[in-house]
Amino acid sequence: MKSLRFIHCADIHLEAPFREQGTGSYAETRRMDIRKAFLHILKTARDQKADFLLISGDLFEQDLTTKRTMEWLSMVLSDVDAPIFIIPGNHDPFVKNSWYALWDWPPNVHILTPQNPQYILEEQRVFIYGLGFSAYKQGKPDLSHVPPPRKDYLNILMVHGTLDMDFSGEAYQPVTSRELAALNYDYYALGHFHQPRAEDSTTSMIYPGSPEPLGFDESGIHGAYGVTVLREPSGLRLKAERFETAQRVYHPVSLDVTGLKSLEEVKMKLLGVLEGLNPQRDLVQITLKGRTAMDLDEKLLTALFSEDWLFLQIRNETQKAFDLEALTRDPAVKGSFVRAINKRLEALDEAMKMEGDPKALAEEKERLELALSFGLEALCNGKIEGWSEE
Amino acid sequence: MRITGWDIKGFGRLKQYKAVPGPGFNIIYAPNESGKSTLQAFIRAMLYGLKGGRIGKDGTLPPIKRYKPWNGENYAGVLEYTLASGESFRVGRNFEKGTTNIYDSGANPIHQRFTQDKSTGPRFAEEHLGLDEATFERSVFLGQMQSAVDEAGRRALIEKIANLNTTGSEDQSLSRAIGALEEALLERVGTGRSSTRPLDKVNMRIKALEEQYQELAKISERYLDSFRELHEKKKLLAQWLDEKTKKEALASRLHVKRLAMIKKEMEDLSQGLDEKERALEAVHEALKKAEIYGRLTPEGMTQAALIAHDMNRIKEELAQAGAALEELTAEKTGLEASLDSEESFIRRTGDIEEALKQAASQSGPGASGKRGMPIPALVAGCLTLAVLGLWLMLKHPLLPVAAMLALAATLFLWLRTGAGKAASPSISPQTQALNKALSQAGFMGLDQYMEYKEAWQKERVAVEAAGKKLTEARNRLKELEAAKTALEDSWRGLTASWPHARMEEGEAFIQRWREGMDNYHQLSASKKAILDGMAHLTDKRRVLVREAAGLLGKPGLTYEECCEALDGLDGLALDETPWEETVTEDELKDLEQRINSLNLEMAALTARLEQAPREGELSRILEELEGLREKRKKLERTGAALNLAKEILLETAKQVRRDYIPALNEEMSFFIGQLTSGKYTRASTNDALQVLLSSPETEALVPVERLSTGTIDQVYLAMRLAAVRLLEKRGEPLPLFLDEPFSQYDEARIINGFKMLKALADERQIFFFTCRERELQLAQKVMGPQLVRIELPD
Repeated sequence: MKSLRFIHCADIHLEAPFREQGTGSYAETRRMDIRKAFLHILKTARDQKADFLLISGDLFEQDLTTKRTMEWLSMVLSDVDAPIFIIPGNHDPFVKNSWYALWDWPPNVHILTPQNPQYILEEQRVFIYGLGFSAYKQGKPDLSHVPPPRKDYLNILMVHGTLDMDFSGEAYQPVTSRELAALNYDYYALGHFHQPRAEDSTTSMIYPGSPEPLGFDESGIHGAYGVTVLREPSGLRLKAERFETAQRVYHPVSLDVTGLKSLEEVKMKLLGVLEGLNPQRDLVQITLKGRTAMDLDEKLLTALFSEDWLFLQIRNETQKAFDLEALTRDPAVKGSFVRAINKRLEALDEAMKMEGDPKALAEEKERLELALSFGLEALCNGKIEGWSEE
Repeated sequence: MRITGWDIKGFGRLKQYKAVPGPGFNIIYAPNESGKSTLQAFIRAMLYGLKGGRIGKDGTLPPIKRYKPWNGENYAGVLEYTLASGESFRVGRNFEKGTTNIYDSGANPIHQRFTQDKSTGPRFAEEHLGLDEATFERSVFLGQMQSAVDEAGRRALIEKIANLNTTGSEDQSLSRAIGALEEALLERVGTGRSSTRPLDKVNMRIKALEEQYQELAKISERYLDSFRELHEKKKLLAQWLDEKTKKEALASRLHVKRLAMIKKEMEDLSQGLDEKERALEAVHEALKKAEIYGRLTPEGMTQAALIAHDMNRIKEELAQAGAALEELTAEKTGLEASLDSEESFIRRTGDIEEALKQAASQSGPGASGKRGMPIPALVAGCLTLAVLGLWLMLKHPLLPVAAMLALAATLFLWLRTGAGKAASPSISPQTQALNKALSQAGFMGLDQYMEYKEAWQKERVAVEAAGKKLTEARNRLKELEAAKTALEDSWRGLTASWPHARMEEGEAFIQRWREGMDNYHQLSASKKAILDGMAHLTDKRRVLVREAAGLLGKPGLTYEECCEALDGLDGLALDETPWEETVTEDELKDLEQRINSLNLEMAALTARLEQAPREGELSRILEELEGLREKRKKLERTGAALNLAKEILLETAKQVRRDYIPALNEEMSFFIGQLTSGKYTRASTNDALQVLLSSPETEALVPVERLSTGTIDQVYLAMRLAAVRLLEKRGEPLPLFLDEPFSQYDEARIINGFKMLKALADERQIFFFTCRERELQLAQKVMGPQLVRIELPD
């Protein structure tokens, strides 16, 4: 078997909705970004003369994809000269009206379904087996059905699911790296997590991540993987290299305004955050945190800064400034209130050190801190002002 | 803590002002606007610093600017104080520069020891006093009571008392705080029971969008169902089209094979027709020759055969009858020859008979009497008659024979029985006569005579019979001759048109003619068969032509045209290979129909699919939903926080009441007793958080609201002082700054107040600010030498 090169990508999410509330045709622009990122992958496959392309699930949003999308997808996939292997993910599962079943895919595209889970490239001596989704949620897969690797072949297992996560209540085909390693395949083309995961460039279990980031929880550079397979006397050697495809980069920023005395200072800080970022490339969400006496109008601030930006949002999550340290010494109800809240916060900190649900604990902490602000404001001012969700 | 001195370089209207207050009761008597409040502010500022900031919405300057000296003097000062521990400190602040220096009693700078506030510098006061600025301010500074001014003031005071009672701070109203939280929850979040609050609006919009989404999702799913249906139908159509192509190819091959077969069949048929044509010609020729036989009919032949047969029979019978006649003639002749003639007989027997008669008449009737016909003979005779009758009726040739036989039997039987019954005669004359006669006749005896007679009778009978027979035979011959003639006539009549009809040929002729007729009929039948066969072949050929024309797509072809067309086709070789598959026209038609139906269904589906759900609509709804859900989450989080704040606030308030109020009431009771000269001795708080005073006079518990304004003032003062005492339990005794606290008091109350303050001055430093000379006087009167008067600069 001569050396091989293939491209591995996943979680493209064509036609995905976008949670951040951009203005105008922002969402449409972002969906075009997804297409561009995907085209980049296909172009790379062509330019590098890849022997084949792997798409490990979530290629499109089943419920939101239209015939037009499929026409476009057909067209661009057929332009790739190499075979393309796709497994259905939890966003594009192989259900009754799945586009995988309804559409006439180009001849170079092979969908690995539960009915037809495997494919062999005889000339290149490559064996590919796929474990995809046939429902929107799916439990642990039965790995006993996975055939053993073929001798002298490059054996690839495509899996869409979660790796090494707590199984209780997990609905996205959970597996462990140990279980996968026990199957003795040469490469595990994973999909589902949008942040890329690979221990190092030589690891055989890779989540390429979404080629175009889809939200502020997907910061960093996004792309896909090109994998080179070399035949050596000791066996196959795989080298995986990531390449960028993303059109945008998300920048979630937390800015503590505690101690800032004026709006001007806040603006200066904001400018500092934005320095070096590209308004046409970078999508920015700045969350103002901390305690301040200033009434910060997030809509006003956003309007002030977002003019040249595709997406820039400033959120105000500051709380009223109180001298909490002094208040804890207040013998009156204010002090008791602060002390009571602090006690609960301390208990939460302790719980966080133990094995608690960090997300739930963080939410509880946030709720307590907010309660503290509201309570103090109510006690001190007799009213709650300075914020509105409308 | 006791303030031991101050040096104001410049602070508000005060500049270059030093003072050394006493450790106990200090009174600052000055008119309004002379700097009393400024001095209080200075002390606060020295302890806690001055904050900067922007001008307030109501135009108030931030503290750092508010007290800036008007005339540009140094904006600075020094304050010295001693703690209960005996430690002394000196604080110097330059408010302009924002610097603060603290020195201990050893003149060591210690400002770095304390936590630094960015704006106010070292926070030494919190450490030394254990209070933040706000607590310090609300605790140690008692301003003027407003209760006597108006009802609003009274209510404000009662509220302050209530606040103090419930929260430990007159400015912190629990009910107002709870109200604020509830109002925020209602106005800014929503409670789920309204439709206009933010959370409710968001929920309603989410619900509407979710319903819209569900609806669109259903439409989308139906669209996909139709798409799937179309997809499946396309596959089916492809399958059927493929099947149709194969079937049409097969049909085409079958057509070709069939055309070849048709061609071969037609050729065979044509050959067959030719053969039959030739056969027909031969038959026609033969028929022509045998035409004559065609005139015969089977009935005629039968009749001729019958005639010929009858003729043969009659001829035979004639021959027999002739032979019989000859025989009979011969026989009769013979018999006649042998028979005496009757004359002879009579001559010979007459006498005998006469003699016999004579003899008989004498014997009487007896055995030789009459002889009747015996029954068998009778039967036979009847039978004979019957047969004769039949013969006459039927003229059957055998019947006469039967009659004759019956007659013979009759005669035989009669004679047999008759002859055996002759009687035995006796000798008498008659007998003699008889014998004579006999002997003359030449008979030896009667027996002989009888024998002779019998014989002669027999013979005569035989001759008669023979004669009869002969007659009959002659008659018979005549009959036969007549029958023959009749037959000949019949023959002639029948065969009038038959040439060469020779009866004399008889059976041979009949045979020949029968054979000829049979041959003719056979030829006719052959001709018919040939013609039928030809017609059948022609029909077959016609059918084939029609079929071929249909296969060629040229209906209405004639045979010749069809042959021409078939000859014109290439590759029309007969394929003898057996076919495993066949396809009929009906199958193709059925398939075509199914394909057409399917195309119609697909067209309908395609048309339906034109109404695709609007692109991007689901995405837009989802995006809006996401945003609203995020908003809802925030509102719910806010709501949860507000509720949590309320919950904790109530909890802590409860705790405060539990821990604080009893102690407060106890302290308050002391001051109330002092201030009211024992009119009211005890303060308590009920579950409704009402402050009550007990009156020893009435033993009643009187709610504060029902007290007089002046007493409410006193209660307030007592509560404030009690609060300070409780505050101090944590640490340093605090100085008190009382600004016109007795402004609403009458003189008695003022004196009581000063008495109380005098006692209080033993434990803490008191700064009493007043603009009333009377108060100064009363203070001096009550305090005596303990009183320290502090002058303010002009």
